[in-house]
Amino acid sequence: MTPAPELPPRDADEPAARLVDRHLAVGLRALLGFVVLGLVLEGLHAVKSPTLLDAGQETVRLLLRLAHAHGTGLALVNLAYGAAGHARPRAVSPVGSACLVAATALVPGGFLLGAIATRGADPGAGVALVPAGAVLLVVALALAAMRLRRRA
Amino acid sequence: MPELAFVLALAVLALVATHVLRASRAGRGRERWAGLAAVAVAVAIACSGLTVGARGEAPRPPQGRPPRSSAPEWVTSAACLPCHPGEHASFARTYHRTMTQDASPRAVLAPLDGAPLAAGGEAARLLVREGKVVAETGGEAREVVLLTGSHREQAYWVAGARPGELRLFPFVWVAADRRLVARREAFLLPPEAPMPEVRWGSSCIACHAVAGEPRRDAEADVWGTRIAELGVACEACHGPGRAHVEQHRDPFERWAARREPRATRPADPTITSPRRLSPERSAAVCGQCHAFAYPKDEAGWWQTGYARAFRPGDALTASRFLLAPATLADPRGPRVDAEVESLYWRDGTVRVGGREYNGLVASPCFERGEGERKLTCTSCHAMHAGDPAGQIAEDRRGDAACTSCHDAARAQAHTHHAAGSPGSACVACHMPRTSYALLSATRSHRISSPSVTRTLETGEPSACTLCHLDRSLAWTSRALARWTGRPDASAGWSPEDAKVTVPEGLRAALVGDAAVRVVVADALGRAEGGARGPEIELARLVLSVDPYAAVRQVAARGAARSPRGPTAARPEDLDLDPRLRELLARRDARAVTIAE
Repeated sequence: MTPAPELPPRDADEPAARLVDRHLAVGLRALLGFVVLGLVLEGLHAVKSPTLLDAGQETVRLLLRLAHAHGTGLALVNLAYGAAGHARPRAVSPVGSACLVAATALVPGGFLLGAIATRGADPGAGVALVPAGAVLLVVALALAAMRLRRRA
Repeated sequence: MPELAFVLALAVLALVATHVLRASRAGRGRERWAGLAAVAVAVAIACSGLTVGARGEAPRPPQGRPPRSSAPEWVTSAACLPCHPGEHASFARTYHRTMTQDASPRAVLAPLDGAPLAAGGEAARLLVREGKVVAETGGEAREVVLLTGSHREQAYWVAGARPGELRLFPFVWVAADRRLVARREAFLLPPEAPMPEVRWGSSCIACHAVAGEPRRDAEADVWGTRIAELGVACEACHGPGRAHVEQHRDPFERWAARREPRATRPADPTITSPRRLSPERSAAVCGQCHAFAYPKDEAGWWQTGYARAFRPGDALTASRFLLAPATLADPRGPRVDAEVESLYWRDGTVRVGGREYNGLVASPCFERGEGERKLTCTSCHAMHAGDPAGQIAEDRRGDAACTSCHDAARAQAHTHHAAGSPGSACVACHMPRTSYALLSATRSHRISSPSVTRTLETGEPSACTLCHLDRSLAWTSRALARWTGRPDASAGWSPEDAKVTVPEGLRAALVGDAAVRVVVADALGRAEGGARGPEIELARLVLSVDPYAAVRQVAARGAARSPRGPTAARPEDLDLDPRLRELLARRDARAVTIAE
């Protein structure tokens, strides 16, 4: 007798498999995008781009690095979220999924937009998206953790 | 660009908020509310951040701040940093970098507490208002635009009444005394003489900025001053860097160039390396600022300064006259405001600090040296190493620079002073502190040997008696005759002669001109000689009531280490014995102005 497959979450409008697919797709696309950003940054280093490397560009350089690092990290989180949903479908939910996708856009996007129009050591206004994304990321992770704990 | 970032941020926020809201509305129970709360908090945080961030305006440069040069060949030191971080860091800690800076509360050395300052009827204050440095004079407040100096003195520049004009705040910060001093008291200036007119665009631009262009309209007296970079930065010594930066952007080209060891690598034609220049041309790189010179094309200078007329690696003489008494005596030669006797000792040795090139090129070590043994600035100094004060190369400290050629000079038989004592140092005898600028005596860069005859002929104080201030010239002459075998200059002097009977520190303080007196006042304040006694105290007293404010300032610094402080008397009021009063009556009272 084979064990019965785990049922998808009862309170979800979307089946878990669809969420898993979405996060694998978002994760891979984000990974591709932010790895390409890393390549671009390396290229700018190679040609000693004044936009990135000149004195006075420290804030821009920091923000672009942060965008690259957070974007890549969040892409991996999306892949992990998708993998977790594949192994434990109850871990994923439409709300948590939406929050994670939103965080994946807001956190690195905030750093990228903050790199535009920096003022000395202060980033541009776009960096305000970063804490908003961080809130959504915390909610997404908390929901996933709670759902796993509740059903365990 | 800020507007674009703002719109993009709002668009991204709207998209993701809609996405989360849709999912939350479809959710159930706690998750629904968690999603709604999360999106509400996130939107609130982002909107408030965006609103606050978008409200601030990018700071605008203050009125009168010289804009960047439009000449494309200058790239500024910011462009050197990516490839030369070590050199950039070593340059950044020097006083060259801070020769001129944008004014900011952090860069100002003087206290910005708004304390009232007053001198000669001028009331003023320095304070911070809305994060900006503000100078108040005569009840009028103006933003401080630029700062010059940071090592010995710091001056503050505010926008003048005419377009592009920058004028000096009436007080300067004296670093050694840690106090603000009225600007006319910081110059060696006769008491009744008017303060020389000083404007940043004419007085400072050539040496306190890279590629400064005064762009002065003489008829309208308006300025369109431009600079490549404030302060003395990379391109001041290495030349304009655009071609170099463009060439080395290619990483493969850089890799190929660096395969060869630095020592055997051919010179890079896109940039000047003073290390690879001949000693003469290497010295000229420093001499572009550290020489007393005058532009050959004066009209051209008022437009573009030396930005086009001189490049590091050129000879100085192509763009300027090197000023010497002979040059200034030539009726067809350049005219300068200062009197010749103010600027030179009677043998033509420059006595103005900061003009070391004139002394160097008149030194036997430069005139007679050959090849690597020809004295040049980098024989002792290093721009990317050593202590920022003086920038002496680590391996050239002490006597190392001199003994690299003059090995025998190490012997005590040559120095006649105990090894390791201040008097045994080569510079103590051969580069005495007989130049003056910025309220201190600096070492003469015309290498010479102590000679009493020379002291009497030129007026330049003897190296011996700048330490042994309590000894007479006759004592010095006898000692030198004994050591060198040369004739004793004092042999024919009367035993009553003041050169025999009066310690030179006191005699010079009484009879010397203002430049001599300020040099002696500086020597009295140094601990090297350790001269003591009533006559030395009397010399301090004479100098502390000198008619020249700068002499009094320097004497007061020395008096702080002496039991007797400065008084409010005049030299004529002092209770001097007839012999000393006669010396005072013979004082060289010609007007001396050293307004560097």
